[in-house]
Amino acid sequence: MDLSFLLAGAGKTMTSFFSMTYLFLFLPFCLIVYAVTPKKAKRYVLLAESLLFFWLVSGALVAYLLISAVSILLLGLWLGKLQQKQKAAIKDLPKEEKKAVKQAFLRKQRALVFLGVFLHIGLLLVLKYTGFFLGNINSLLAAFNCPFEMYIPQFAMPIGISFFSLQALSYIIDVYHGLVKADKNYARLLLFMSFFPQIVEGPICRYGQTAEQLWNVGSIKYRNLTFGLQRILFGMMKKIVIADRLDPLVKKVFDEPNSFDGGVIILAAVCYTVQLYMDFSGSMDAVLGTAEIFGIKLPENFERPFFSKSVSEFWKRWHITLGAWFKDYIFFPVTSAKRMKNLTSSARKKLGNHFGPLVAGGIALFCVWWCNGLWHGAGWNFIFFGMYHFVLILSGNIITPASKTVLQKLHIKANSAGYKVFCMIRTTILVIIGELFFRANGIGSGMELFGRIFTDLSFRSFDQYLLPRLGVDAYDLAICAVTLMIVFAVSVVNEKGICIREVLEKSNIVVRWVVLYSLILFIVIFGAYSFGYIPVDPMYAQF
Amino acid sequence: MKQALKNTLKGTVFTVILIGLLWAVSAVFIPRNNTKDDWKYDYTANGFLAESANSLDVLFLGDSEVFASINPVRIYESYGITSYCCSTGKQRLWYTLEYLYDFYREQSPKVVVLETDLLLKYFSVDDLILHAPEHYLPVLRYHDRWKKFSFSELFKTPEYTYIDDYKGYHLYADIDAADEEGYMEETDERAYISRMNRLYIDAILSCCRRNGSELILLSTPSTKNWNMKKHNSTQQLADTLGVEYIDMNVSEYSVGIDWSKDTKDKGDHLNYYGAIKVTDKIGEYLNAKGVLPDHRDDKAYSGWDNSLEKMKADVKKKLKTEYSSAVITS
Repeated sequence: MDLSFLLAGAGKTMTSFFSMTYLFLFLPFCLIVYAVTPKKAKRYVLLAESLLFFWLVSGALVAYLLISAVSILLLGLWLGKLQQKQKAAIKDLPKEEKKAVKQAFLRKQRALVFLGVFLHIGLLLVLKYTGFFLGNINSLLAAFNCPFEMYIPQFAMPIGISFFSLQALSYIIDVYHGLVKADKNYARLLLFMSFFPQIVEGPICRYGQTAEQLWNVGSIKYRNLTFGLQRILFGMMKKIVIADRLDPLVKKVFDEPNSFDGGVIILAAVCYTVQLYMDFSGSMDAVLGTAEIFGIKLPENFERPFFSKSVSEFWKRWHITLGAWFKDYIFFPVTSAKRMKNLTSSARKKLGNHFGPLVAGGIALFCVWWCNGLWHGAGWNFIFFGMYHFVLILSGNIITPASKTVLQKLHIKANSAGYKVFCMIRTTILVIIGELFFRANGIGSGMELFGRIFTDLSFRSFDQYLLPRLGVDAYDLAICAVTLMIVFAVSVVNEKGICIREVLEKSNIVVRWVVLYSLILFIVIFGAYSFGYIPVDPMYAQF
Repeated sequence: MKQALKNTLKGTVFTVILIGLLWAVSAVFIPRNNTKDDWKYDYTANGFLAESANSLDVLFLGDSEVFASINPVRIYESYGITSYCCSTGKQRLWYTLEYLYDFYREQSPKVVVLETDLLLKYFSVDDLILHAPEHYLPVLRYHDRWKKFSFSELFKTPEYTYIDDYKGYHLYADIDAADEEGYMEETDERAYISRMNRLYIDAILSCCRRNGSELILLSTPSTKNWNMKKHNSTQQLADTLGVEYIDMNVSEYSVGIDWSKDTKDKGDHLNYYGAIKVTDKIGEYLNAKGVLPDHRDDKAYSGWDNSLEKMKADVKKKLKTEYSSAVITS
């Protein structure tokens, strides 16, 4: 019986790990095929399943992924060869000659890395940012009354290009730095690039973190299966009960920036921040849970970010793998460049040990946040979002000595619980402001919304007509609040280093099953799905 | 091996208990009535639940094209034939089949008319997986009723009291003219009916045949939703299935729609004036079959006379233009 039609058009929904097609068709199919495959062939099955997933979502655009993997394979091998030649060439050379030969080889290697960067970033720029750049040029031409208008081509983008491009680059740079050996095996590299749970929203993995794990996968263990499924369930609760339920409210206010007063805009900005966190971290739970079933440990992308006491700390706990990528491949290379080192030492002399390094650090930070903003989307509001965080983090670093002095003078202990809570609330407010611009439909709309908070701060809209107008009701907000409390309680326990799933594993079967049934029934009853709800695409899949 | 068997058994027991729990919880969430407050969704389409058993002879199924185009009360007025529109906005075939199953529980329609707009509308596997179990585990559909939960309802058995006077029809008085350009332009091409849709069409047909009903395919007039490609594929489908097909968009069954006056939204749906033309034609067609009884003098159907009076009063109130009075009196 030909059942292929069941997957026809499935790609439209499969970008969500909580879609029925993914959870009840694709994933079980993958697990069954994987489970019945002999151990040696499991890696190939995993690769085939990953490519099938990519093909279902992006069709022929899977070619981008295949070509990207070919390019890093060749570049990696070339780099490896150059490194071997370099070793052989300098083996018996005197010290002073060694340096010159080394430099010559390094130049060649750098050229290869630049080629890799050019290929991947170039492709990303063309596919993702052409419309943005040409649109801005057209606006500029129009502003000068120039009759010429540039044609803006439309490109189809493969799913996850922003994620797998960064993985590809990290591999080439890691080979260049000698952190990993150049891989001769195309299938292994392709699996590292395409592992299906992580392709849509990350996490952005390094070759050293996952390639070997993926290549040496074993049988599905019962413990991994239950742990993975439990994590998927928890993520589902975050996404379906909270994030999707808040969607109509957020959409309404952000789509009609002129229609609401400051009070409603604050409510929508808070709700959006909650929605984004629940959506993205919920999806990450599904991704890491799925990987866990296969026995693969992917890097965490969230570490309870709203417990952060500064914006800088927040970004070490939110979308961790992206932040780490920018830190390792932009911040460090910029600050460790020869000119920057010179700048730091001269600035240190003039400005002192605290402010001196901040000059070069500030330049590197600027590059990081410019890229971070642009990575999230082709729009000025995203660039503003990046620059906003750049200013916050840099100014945070600049005022550190002053704030320490103020705290001392006011006799406030930086370690006291009260001050920590104050810092967390302050950080959360700053993050919410950033997210307001992030979600706004353009920078103008963001400014309008932000401005209204100050120019029209009233709560007159908070009457019995407000919630129906926003597409929600009091029950919706109440259940979101209750679920958030559950997530908060779990976060507090996790922050103390306790893994609830391990605690559950040790408890007797009745307790364990009661907890699981409660969670499932909670999602079934309070989830925003089926009649009256429009499925919400995962928010980070669009980046 | 022993451990694997143990784990498989554990997983199976867990799943069975879960299904049992969902089934038990479903009993709490099933609506106790078919009023707007109880059903929340599509209550007019569910009005048939409160009709007397075996009192409806014709069932109209489909998306919004049906409730905008077919007025069962007018068919009753003209021929005494009782019918009902189980139509909902953006209805997809999985939902159509649900309505058909529900309808057969208490009714024995002799004719089932399926509007064809939804035959070519895509619905995803996601919809199928999400909605198919709803029939057996209603909590999946009615879970949102937690907002209306009351302990007093818990032990009440469902009792349906809401009778829709319009019998599923929606009265639209607005006029928004349609652009007819390109409407039903000749072509030999055929639109694609997905295999998923085809599966459901087959299930609907076999359900009708099992219950002794005749299935008829009907395309109501719409410049926005219908074209020759769709007609060709539906005609081919009707020929393959061996069912009658009436397409009011082609000259053979044309009802003389005036696209400057008979549509409420630029040719997407008909308004009251357009619905009269479609209703009269379909009523005539059904009556000509000679198998559908005239209930007008039957006292058991006096409720229909009341509905007719109410609708007439509503129509007078809603439609006050010269055009409308000309249509109403004609």
